[in-house]
Amino acid sequence: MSDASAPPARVSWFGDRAVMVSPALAVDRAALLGLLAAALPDRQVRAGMATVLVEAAEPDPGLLDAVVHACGTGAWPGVQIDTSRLVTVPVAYTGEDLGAAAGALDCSESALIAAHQAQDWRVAMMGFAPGFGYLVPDGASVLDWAALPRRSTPRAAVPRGSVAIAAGMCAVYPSAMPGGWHLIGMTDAIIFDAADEAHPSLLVAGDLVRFRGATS
Amino acid sequence: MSRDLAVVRQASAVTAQDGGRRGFEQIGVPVAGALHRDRYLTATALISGRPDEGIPALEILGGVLALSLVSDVLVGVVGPGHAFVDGREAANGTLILGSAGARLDVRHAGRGPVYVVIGGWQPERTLGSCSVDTFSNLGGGPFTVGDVLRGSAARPDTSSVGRFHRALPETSGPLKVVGTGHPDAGAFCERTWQVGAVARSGVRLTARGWVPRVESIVSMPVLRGAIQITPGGEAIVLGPDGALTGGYPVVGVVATADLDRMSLLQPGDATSFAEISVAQAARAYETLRDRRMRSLAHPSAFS
Repeated sequence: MSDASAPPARVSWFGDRAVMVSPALAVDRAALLGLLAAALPDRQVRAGMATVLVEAAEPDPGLLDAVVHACGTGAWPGVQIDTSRLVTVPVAYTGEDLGAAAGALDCSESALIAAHQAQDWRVAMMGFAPGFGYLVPDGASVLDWAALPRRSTPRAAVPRGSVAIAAGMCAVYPSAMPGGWHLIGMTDAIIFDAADEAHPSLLVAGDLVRFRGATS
Repeated sequence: MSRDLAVVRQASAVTAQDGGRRGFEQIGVPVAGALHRDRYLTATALISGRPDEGIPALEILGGVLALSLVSDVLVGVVGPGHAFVDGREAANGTLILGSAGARLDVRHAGRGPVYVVIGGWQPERTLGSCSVDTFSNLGGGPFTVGDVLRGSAARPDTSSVGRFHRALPETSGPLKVVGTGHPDAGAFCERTWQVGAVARSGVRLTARGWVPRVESIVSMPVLRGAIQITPGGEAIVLGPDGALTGGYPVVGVVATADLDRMSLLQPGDATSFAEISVAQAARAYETLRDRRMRSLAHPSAFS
């Protein structure tokens, strides 16, 4: 499936204790994430929107070779690997930007709500804050989500549990924090719990997420 | 069994820190932890006889810390500050016995953090660490008046009183940087950078005449020491509480061996950077680690 003449991924140093892996095909990022995490269990393996970072606690001159070697194992180039979990998040669609978001997406509020639930979402990357996942449409887009930019003025405090969309992505706020995305609903699911050492985060990179309507 | 060890009477810019919150980066939890690792590890060695990332310390970034001691405790202070027990100056870098009822004052005076270790102190841990993360609001917040330090009810082991350790002397010269393959790494290192705002999440820099390249990147993982270039022309060197993903280009990453030096920068300073190879950076780190181990094994060698 992949072009045999092009390297399937670029592997380069990112400082003296980390290596960045940039796959040529976007579809390979999820497979690489699982492959590298399994091959290098004593390293931190983190997803970006298009890349994977492998990080050691201390400088390690052998890290680049170890990552290149790990990339050479497994049948990943061009192969869709899906070992992810399905996480279902209940949402009460009461967000104060629901109307404005529907207007910008040129649909009714009820059509936006239906599309948000019909869409399969994938956790592309974790970051910004503990437990904050960047969700992108998985498979065919049910709506042209990218047509909705971020709010021109970010809110100083978005409530915990807010479900928000912007710039082709969706997120659930794990705690109260500033945010520039459009609030379409609210969930009572615990997104991040620092007291739960075994599973502090509801979401991890690679998860498939579906939203289901709930009453608040 | 635990008991009250001390009560905070005055504190400005003081947080609990240890070696950091490791192993949760992939779900967006920054490492946090001591800003100046060498000073912190030196302070932990006063308490436990060896560098120990599990030992909590009070990290003072400025001003004064005043404690009323409620129990007899071992106390050690490392970094640019003066410690006083009931008004009498105590030697920096030396383990002392503070008596119940005494007042401990530590005045920050100099560059970078001061670390205070209190024997037996057991602060609450979140995800395995007591480190206060000012960006993610983990581990509570800075100390405020009336906070109580609680810990072990065991009597302090006075045989270690007088134990002496000194942090390594600070080095000078340009801060060492390992490139990321970004084409502007060389141009970045040719400039002199002025230090703006300084925080545990990062240090902001500006340089006269620096015009950032117009480029669009998708958000990527970042780490402590990463040098981000903003479209407005600022450079941000990420600190221990910095975000773990970023949408700005990264021109380089400060060598691990020089991360402590980042914590010495103050607003208004001028600083510069020099690019080195990964192999050179790894050697610099090994050299630093060896010097630290030698210094801790032979405390008089650097006195």
